[in-house]
Amino acid sequence: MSYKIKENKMLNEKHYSFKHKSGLEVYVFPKEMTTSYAILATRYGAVDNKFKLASDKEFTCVPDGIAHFLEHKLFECENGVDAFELFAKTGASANAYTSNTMTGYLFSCTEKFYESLEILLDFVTHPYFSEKTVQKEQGIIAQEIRMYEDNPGARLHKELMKALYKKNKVRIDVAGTVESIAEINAEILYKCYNTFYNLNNMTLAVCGNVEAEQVEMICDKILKKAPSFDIVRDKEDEDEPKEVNEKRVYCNLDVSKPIFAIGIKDTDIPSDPNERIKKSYAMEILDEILFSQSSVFYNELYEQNLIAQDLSSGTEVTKQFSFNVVSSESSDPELVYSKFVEYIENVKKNGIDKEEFELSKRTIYASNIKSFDSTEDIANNFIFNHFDDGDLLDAPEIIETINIEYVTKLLNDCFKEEYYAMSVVNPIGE
Amino acid sequence: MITKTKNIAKGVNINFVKTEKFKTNYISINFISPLSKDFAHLNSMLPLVLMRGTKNYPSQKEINKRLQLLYSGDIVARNSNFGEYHIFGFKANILNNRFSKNLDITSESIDLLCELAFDPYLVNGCFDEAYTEGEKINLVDTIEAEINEKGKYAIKRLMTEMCKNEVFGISRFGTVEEVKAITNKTLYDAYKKAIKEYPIEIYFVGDGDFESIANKFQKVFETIERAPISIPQAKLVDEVSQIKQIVDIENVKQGKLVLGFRTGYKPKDNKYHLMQLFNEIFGASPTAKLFLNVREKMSLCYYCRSIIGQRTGVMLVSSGIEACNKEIAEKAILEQLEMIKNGEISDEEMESAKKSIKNGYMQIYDSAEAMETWAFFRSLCGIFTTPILECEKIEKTTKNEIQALASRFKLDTVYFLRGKENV
Repeated sequence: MSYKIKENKMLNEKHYSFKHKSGLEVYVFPKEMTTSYAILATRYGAVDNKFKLASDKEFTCVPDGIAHFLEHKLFECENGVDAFELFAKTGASANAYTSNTMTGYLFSCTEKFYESLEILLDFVTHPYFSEKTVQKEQGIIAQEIRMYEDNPGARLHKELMKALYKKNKVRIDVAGTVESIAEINAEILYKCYNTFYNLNNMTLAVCGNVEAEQVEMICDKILKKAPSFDIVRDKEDEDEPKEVNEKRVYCNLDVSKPIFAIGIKDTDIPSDPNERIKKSYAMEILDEILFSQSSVFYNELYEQNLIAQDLSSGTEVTKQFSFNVVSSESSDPELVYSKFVEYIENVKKNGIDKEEFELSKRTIYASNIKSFDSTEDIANNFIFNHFDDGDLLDAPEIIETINIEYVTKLLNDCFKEEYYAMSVVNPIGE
Repeated sequence: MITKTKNIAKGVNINFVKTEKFKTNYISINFISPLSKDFAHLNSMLPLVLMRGTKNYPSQKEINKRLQLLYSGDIVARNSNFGEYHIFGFKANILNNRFSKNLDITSESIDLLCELAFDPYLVNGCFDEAYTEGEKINLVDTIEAEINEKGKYAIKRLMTEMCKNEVFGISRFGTVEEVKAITNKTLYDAYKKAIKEYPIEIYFVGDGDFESIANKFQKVFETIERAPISIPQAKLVDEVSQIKQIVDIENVKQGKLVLGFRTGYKPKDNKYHLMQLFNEIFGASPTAKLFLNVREKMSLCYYCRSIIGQRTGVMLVSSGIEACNKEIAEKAILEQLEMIKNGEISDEEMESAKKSIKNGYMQIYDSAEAMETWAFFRSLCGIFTTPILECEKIEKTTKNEIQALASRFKLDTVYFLRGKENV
């Protein structure tokens, strides 16, 4: 088979790709590293709680947390063997994760890559769920949920999503609740599996000392042709209002002082994937200008001891949702919030400084290059971008096209008070 | 692992790990002090205050602007303890020169690092009072915020209780009271002591000219008077007279159980690979005894893992459980340890653990920071080895050696953090 080649000369990175006859898309990044890494991912996450096949009349509704539950259960094979035991024989280190929109199964290894790849492709395409093993997993995942309930960062984020969004399914917690996972049984798991683990809905990305021909041979050996993929995902969350759902959300935990996250909701999501990548990096540049340690805002709050050492910011622009978050610890989150609002209005009035823009752009450009030093980061970032219809090898050139006018417009369009909400975790007793 | 080491001043070495596979270079400057009640809080303050300003970049804002100009040169404070050593300083991850047309990023970043460590912003021959006072508040916040992460907090509480009479029980941050009592003068005196007395290890991992980099650092020390101390080695406790039981009650949903064991392990024996192999079989992987039994079979928890101390000779088991299951979980953990003591290790377990450790060791070569950590922390134990050499030792290890190692393990302290409603 001939492969498509895409290369970025500046980065000195490239990938080969092909659509396997089974339906699976495959991307291979050759890289001279000791560690090789593979991730097999499906476009199925916590948001997919209502769906049907095109031929079905009714939608199927499933309990929250099922995609994550399924990820746990898939490791158990029919003969009672755990996939971890199989990887233990090749020495690979395996894992999996579930997000709002995807589930990925992965391993890293320093030898016997192709043997491990066989195991990966085999166990993910051979589900086995029984009532007994489902029950056992309910106990384990209940403890995972409990752990997150005590975790301030996890709670802060979860509540913030509820504050920002009224309908968008990013509100759904990936792990679900102790109650929702109690409703899961083997039958529903198979229904979800058979719907979303169709190879036409999945992608394999590998990076390291690997060859596309060999990867293809393993695919030929393990994968059978998948039926056509024709599902309808429920779109009832599409008419999300522009404004936030709630201005403030609070919860109480055993923490030393309040922790806050200010979210900036953005419903103006570009339909072109490269425009989304551009917006995402432009937002990172804007965050660097506005909130980094060189910013007026950070330094003023820091010197007044209104925030902890870190004022972190993060942005996510995907086709399903787009938001920006600024968070830290503070003895007075309300005061920080009002200063935040005032500060943004000031920057809008006075404009962005040309030098600050150039330095921030350089920072984001360099951080992007740095992310190409690990086979794991390359494959994971690739999948994230690919599921949003973009390609991470395009990022450096897209960043180059961002100018001060674009970032200024972003500031004026996105940073409006009706789009802000704040989530606060308060110490118990306050 | 280390390509070259050069002594550039009294008690100051620069270590060079040459590699061209990364797009970045990794540089660190490390002060090695004895972990002590008298200086822990002061030494933890030093990198914080030094990060506030240098002679040429007197504020955080100016430092960060400089870092942005140097292509997002992440320079962060380092502050960690490794057994009886309290290590603090700076580490930097910088972009390779080939990505800039007209800037020597490496050389400029080294200048900035040296300024941060050795040429601070001073007012009347002392730190800026405002910086010192501000960082005192931050360090107090850090200490108070330790409770926020319950898993880590529980482990730290166990170490404090278990090693009350040892140096390992000292928190590297000091206490809130000790930090509040710091003055600008005591802090600056601690700084003068640090640059004069503490051994300093500098690491450069990446692509660069060793001689010119070493010379650059050497120049800095021409004006610094050095009289390095040697750090006494801690005496490890092997025996347990009575098992300590500690219970803390906080507002938590999940109970955190931590068991602390004395292992009889001595760093100078150079048998850390045995400890790692034991750890892998017992509780550090998804095919370990603790994972397969306490989690998978008994469904008691999401995590139940063992952790070994390379300098302390302490082995911990940490798990998050329903408070009502504490006794069952504790019993199950001890049963799994007992099995290893009885030599109940299957050939498969042994093989899997070996492969897993070797996989982890070989992956070290793919991260500049991991290479530095490997070389630096082992050199502190007087061990100079490479992942490849350690893989060979792992390969030769027998079940009997693991059994013999585990047979010396003794439970010392049981720590339990639980919610109010379960009392």
